[in-house]
Amino acid sequence: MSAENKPLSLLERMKQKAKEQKNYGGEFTGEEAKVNVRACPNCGAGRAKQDGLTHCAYCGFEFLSVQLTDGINLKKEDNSQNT
Amino acid sequence: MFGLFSNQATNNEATAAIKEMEETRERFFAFIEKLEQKMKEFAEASLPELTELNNTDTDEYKRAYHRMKAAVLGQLDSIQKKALEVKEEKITNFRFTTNDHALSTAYYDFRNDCYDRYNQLDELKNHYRGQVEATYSENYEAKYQQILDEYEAIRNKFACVQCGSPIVIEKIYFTTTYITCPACQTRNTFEPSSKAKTLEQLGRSLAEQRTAHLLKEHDAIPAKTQELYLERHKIQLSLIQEKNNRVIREKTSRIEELGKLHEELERKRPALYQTYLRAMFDEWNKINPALTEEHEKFYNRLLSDYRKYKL
Amino acid sequence: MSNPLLEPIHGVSLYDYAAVSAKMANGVDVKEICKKLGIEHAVFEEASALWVARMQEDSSFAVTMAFGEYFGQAENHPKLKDLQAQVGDEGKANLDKMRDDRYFYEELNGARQAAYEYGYDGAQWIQENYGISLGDFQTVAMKWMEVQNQEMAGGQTGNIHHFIDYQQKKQAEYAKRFAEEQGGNVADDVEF
Repeated sequence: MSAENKPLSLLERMKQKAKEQKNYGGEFTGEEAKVNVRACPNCGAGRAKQDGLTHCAYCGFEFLSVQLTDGINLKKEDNSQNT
Repeated sequence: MFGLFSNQATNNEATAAIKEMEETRERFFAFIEKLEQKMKEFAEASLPELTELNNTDTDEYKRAYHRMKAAVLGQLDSIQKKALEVKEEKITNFRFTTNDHALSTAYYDFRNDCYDRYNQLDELKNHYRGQVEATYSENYEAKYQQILDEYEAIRNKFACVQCGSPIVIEKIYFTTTYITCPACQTRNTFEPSSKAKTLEQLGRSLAEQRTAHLLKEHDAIPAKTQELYLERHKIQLSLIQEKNNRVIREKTSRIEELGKLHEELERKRPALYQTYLRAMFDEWNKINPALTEEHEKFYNRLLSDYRKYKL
Repeated sequence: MSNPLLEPIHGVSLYDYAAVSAKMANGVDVKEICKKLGIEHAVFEEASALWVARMQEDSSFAVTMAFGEYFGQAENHPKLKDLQAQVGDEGKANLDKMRDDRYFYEELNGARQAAYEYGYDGAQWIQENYGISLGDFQTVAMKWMEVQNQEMAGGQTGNIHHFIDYQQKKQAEYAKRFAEEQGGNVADDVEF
């Protein structure tokens, strides 16, 4: 058995290869929690609770082009009434 | 023994074939032993390396560790493949010309011996595969604790983007959601951290880890019933020769007793599974209550699958 | 179509969800995806979590199977088909070849398996050497899986075996190559 074929040195090389490789999709970067507000791009109005989430209460702009069903925190009541 | 063959030429041929079988067997055994030696050395050396990498890999998914583990398993497979190729070539395809009954019998003995020896290597590989897999560990409790700590740190940290009034994050959200500002009623979009977003899957892994002892209890039953069965079988066999009536009575009653124990274990098995499953889902629900309703549907499905397929 | 488990969640259909999964595996930004579907993160994340829950609930595997089929059709999704991750010319050519040429697909499949056995991340290896992303690879794999299922149903097992053999042959070739690169296998010096 040649010196470089001993199990340990093969293992060393395997370990090095495992460590040095680039991870698929790059490194994982954790994101912090954050808060934002989406205002209507047409009229600048924010979304208030009673107006629902899908359409702007003032100009009718469509924030969401789907009909919300009963999900985890989002519920049917969150669909805007002015559609 | 070879005087049995019909003529001298066949006899010589058979003798030569037998001799070749013996030599091949000897060489095959030595070959497998050397491979086993290699496998042991390599696997034993790799286990502490893998454990260390599992503990030190800082990547979120421990990808370096997983690559290394796959490579170690690949080497174990390569050893087995090497044995398999030689087995096919030298044993399965062993050629002998005389179509004689005695020689065929000798060949089957030779082949079975070699196959058994190969199977030992296969078992050794499975043993080490299990050991290699067991180097993986994940501290789910610690990961969960990080999510809890992070929640405590941020729950009162945010203000409404519209009016600046404080908004409180009232529970751990694992999906992005809308939080209404109590002052101006604006819907703020709250996006949880990457860590918090893992809560649902992490919750299942942690719940499984916390209740693993209950599953183990359930999984241990087949081995226990097998043991009872063997004991009963042994007594039954010993009864065949038994003449003493007192001993026969004692043994018969022991057989009945063992039968009852066996039945009882079989009866307990589904209940143990349900106990495990209930405890596991209770833990999961505690960790991520937002999906309790969905978890319960999953629980019912697993339970009915268990009953339907007698898992 | 009366299976309630296949009904859309927040208007996100199973086809939407499967196509989104394929696009995300390709590295397409989730923001772009949401924009095309006309939804926000909150909607998408709830729908994702609930689609996973539906699969868990479904003992018939109808949801999981339909998901697989839709995943393979991500390229035809009316709203998402134009969303492409950045792929080089070489990657595009290889991807087309993989779609049309089953031998080439089986070769890459074998190579990918061999790569894992020699400590490479197979997905990364395919990306680096052929410019094909994981999502595209899986989408094409799903397509060939369908072809194979049809062959199975049509009793063409000979053809299936032919390609399995070919894949194994290629896997062995790549394994040999990777073994040489790492300076041999651990038991190379053991001879019969």
